[in-house]
Amino acid sequence: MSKIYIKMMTDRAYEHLKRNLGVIANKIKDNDDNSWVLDEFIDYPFVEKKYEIEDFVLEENKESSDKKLDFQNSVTLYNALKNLPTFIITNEKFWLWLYFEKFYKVTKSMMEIKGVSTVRDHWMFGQGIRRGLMFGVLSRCFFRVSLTIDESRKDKFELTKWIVELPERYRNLTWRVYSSEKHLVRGIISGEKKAVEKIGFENASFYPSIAKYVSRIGSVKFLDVIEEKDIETLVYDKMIEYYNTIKK
Amino acid sequence: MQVRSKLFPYPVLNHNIINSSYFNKIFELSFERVDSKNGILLRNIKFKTDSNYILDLFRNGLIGVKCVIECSYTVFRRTYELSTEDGNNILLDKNDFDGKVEISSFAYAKENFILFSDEFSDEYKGMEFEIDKYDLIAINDGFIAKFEHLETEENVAKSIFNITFDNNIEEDGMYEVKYEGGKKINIYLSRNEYQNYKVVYNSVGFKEVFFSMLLVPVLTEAFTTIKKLTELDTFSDIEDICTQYGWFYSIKYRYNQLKNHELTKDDILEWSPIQIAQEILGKPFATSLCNILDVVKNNKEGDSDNE
Repeated sequence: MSKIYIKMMTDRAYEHLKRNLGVIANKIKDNDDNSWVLDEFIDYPFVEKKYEIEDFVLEENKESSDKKLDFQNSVTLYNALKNLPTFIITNEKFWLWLYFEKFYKVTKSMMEIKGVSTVRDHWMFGQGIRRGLMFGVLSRCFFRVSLTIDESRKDKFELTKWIVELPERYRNLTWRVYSSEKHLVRGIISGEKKAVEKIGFENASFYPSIAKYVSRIGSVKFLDVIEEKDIETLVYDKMIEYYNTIKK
Repeated sequence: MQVRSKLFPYPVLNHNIINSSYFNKIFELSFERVDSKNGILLRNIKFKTDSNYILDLFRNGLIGVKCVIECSYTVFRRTYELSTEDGNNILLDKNDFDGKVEISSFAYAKENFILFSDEFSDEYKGMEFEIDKYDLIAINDGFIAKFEHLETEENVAKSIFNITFDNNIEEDGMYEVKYEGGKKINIYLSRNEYQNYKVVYNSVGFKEVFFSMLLVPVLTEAFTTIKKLTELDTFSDIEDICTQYGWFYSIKYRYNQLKNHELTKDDILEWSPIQIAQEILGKPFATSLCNILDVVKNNKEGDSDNE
């Protein structure tokens, strides 16, 4: 594939989207292609930037139901974008180019538009930058890989595959500030995974409690410096404790 | 990472004396700040303390000290090892940040040990505490650096204003303005008036007319608000204004160019909003008047020719 320059949504177009969210949500819902976008904005709503990436394609995946495809798309997205500067990859206007121009059809296929809230929360970063990145239809795919890839494992995507299979295993962590520390996310996911493998069944209702448990550790201890193995052990022990309560 | 006034079940040396359980001791970051186009270099970064007890714990390997760099907008968070010696540098790479970046430092336990010192404040004197690995021992909430990726600095109007349309605005000649909560002042027109504006804006010689019609009054109102809030002592400094009104960065930048000195709160208290708005936008009135005059003259000549 050839190289392309990335684009970002212009300030003007972004402001227009935020101001006319109801209208935009309906247009996305009613249109399977993005030919309406240029009419809506009057001016071309994207601006090319100096950063180059290898061009890439993503496959349509109805409501992300095909987990294997979800994983493949996530890895493709990560590999294509991983070398961009952090301030670009975390900028909502960059993702809006992907949503409204480059991957409109794919984005729309991955999540049913149930109403304005779907567009606000999963396309438009309506709940702030962290939640926007971790909730966004495509941005969350990128961060699932970025936060769990582990070069020290035989299969570096072992943890990525595990969370794509059931996003609840990881979702609750990502809203918390400590999830910016990749070694903590990997350690927590590892602890959860080991416990599930040890017990032999899974109760997804424990995952929000684990996210809170780690926050509690951080209320006294210096969470950032806790080694990956140590947080893994702490989470594993807590998960086993939770499972023992339901066994009894 | 900001600990602020959080309480701990054991004595913690906090650089903010009000929250410290040590008597009159400091714990701080020391470095030389070197600004460059790639970011900020914190040269020879190290920690300093006058607590002999904390220094002993560090020298004996019972505690470590780390600097935490965090930017909520780019979800960046990373720690860096510190010592008491020169020779360590941290580069805050501009590519990693946007907006506010918090730089703080913490001492933490590297293993379990008993905390006991005659440096504790009176309420803890003579008491021992069991410390676990990773417990916080000393805190400095540090300082905040700012990073901006301004790309339109050369175009004053574009760097301050964002003009767009709202399908819900009636076509009756009214427009709406929003100053707060964004990097730019947003001006909303009706769809039809936005299309007309685009034609005028892109016509040679009419940009200044548009500046006089729309941008000068909008900026005047914004400056009046900023001046009133400054009079009420709402802002600690110019950076504080920029944090609350992102577009003010461009004003500061342009003002410094025009006046050849750094904008201060005193300047704002003394300025005339309508005058400074005209200056910032390149005094567009005279140019726009001349342009309209040319059009009027051309029309008259056309009328004479027709006669």
